[in-house]
Amino acid sequence: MGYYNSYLYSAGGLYLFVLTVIALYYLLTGQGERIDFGWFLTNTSPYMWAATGVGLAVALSVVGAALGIFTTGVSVMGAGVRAPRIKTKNLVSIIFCEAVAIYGLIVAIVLSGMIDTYDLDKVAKNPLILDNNIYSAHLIFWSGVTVGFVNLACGICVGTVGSGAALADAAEASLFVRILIVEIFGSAIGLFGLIVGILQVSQVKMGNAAA
Amino acid sequence: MRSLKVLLLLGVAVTTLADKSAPVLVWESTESSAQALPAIPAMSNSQLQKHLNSLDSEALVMFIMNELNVEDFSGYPSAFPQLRREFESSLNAFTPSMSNPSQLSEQLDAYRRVTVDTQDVESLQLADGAQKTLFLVYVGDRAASERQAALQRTDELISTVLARVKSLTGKYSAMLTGKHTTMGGEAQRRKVRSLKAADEPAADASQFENLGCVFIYMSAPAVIRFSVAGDKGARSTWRVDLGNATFAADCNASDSSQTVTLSWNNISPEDHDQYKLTLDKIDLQLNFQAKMSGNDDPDKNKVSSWTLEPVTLTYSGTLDNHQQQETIDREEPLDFSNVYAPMEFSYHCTNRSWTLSRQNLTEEVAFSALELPGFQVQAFLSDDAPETFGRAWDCTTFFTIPIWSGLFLSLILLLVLVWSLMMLASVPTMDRFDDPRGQPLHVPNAE
Repeated sequence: MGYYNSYLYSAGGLYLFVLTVIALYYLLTGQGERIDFGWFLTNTSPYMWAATGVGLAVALSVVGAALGIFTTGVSVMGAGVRAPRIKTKNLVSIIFCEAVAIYGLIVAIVLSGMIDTYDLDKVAKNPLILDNNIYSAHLIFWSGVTVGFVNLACGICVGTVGSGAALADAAEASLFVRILIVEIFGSAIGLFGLIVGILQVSQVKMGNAAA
Repeated sequence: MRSLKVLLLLGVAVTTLADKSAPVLVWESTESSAQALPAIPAMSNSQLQKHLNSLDSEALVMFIMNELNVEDFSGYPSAFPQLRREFESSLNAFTPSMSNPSQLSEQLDAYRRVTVDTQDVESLQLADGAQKTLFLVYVGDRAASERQAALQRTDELISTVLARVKSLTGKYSAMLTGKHTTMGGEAQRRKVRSLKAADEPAADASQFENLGCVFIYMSAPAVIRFSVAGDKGARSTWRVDLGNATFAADCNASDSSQTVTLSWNNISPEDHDQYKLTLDKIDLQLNFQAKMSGNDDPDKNKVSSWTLEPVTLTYSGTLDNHQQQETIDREEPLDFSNVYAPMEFSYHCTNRSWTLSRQNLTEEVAFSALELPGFQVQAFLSDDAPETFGRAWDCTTFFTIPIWSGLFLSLILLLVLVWSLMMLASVPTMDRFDDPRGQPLHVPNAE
């Protein structure tokens, strides 16, 4: 099992090497202008960006929540063996982690409701439609990424704190409520991500009507 | 000395190649005289001939197949049931290889030759006035892939003919042979599949023109497509092939622009159902626009890249729609702005077609697209540039947008996969209660 890490590092290194070689080839044969991120960003399909944003929003949030529940749950189970009274009270920590996943779910539903198709013949008449669709798709993508990563961090944070809360509660009952306050602050950062994510997509207009 | 040896070798080769050999089966009815066939394993042509000439039989039936191999007997054991019965119930002899056996028929002068019509065996008669009749049966086995079927047909033919001969006379002999073996056949007849004769390669219709400051190339003549008004507003496309173009270039228009004009004269495409078009002159004017490097010092201000803009297509001629003749003289602007190459590169694209920018086509026959196959062009060449195109700057990149999109998305998924594999790899085993000095686990071997 210890070898796997080295395999993964090698694979990552190979990937970076191939990327470097391709970039250097273009650069050194006088075709440096072919390395064009703007061309990539504007010519790729807006649907790719939008759908990826939706996916990342929920996926990363769920990963964060899962890691949090994993950390807390293990501690609650372990400490609950010696001090069974903590079991019911510490479920609150699990619920805080779950909330993080729900933030991601809400954002993903909101974002996917904004995705709409556009027709190329309407674009030919009004190029602004394509511009707005690209703009909206990028907003959706990065909104999803924002919410996803924020919830990932939040979930890990709440989980670690909840784990500490369970162990402290098992040692002394009065500690639980104090550590819960820390957990609430940790949960608030997930909410920040949700708010910013919704703010980002407030100007999204996809579809044929975008003009 | 050496040339003599070569000649000798060639002579031997020629004779061996000319020699056709095939296996020979000979059998006689037991009623004929008990002159045993020569019992030597390899009967020669002359020996067999002598023997057959001296036979006491009234009829000799000679079956000549196109091809006969020893492998036909060993490889298809169930192919000759009736022949096997006949053969083994008579005095018989088998020679695996005899040279030119089919020519025996000409050499057997004691016999009167009768060629048997395989479709009409019933009308066979012994040749009257002769003592011995030679029945020649040419078994027309085609060089079919179904060798088994051909052999079975041969077998049936043999039994049919022999049944008829037996009804004519009791004293007969028979012989089965072939003109040659499969290997010794004429070179013209090929049993193996050969490649279909390839078509003549099409004449090279490409055009390369060195105009001093501009190189231009097309791999095939240009094509213009007209959009023809049809029934109920539907438009169809009419393809007009242009021939070779004549080129004219203006290299000194200015420091930052050059012009090339392609002309086609007297194009008369094949008649459309409704229209007849005669184009006297078609001109395509390409204006190359250079983008300078922007250095304030005029000596150092060089061309860094160029584009093709504006481009105009002018055509004039007559259009006849069977009711009236209309003189047309039109000028269409085309959008060639994607044609771009940096300095010292040549723009290249395969089968690129440029359609008209405006969409509403009201004329009956309106120009809709120009196609320049295999178009390659390089402008703003310096005087000491080599005579060939610079490196090609293709109209599509090597890594296209779909490739990059795929790589981007698979990177995201691979990162997820890698993270999960790392997590799996970090699961530790329980070692709280391990004791290095403890007894290893003993599992009794229960029978």
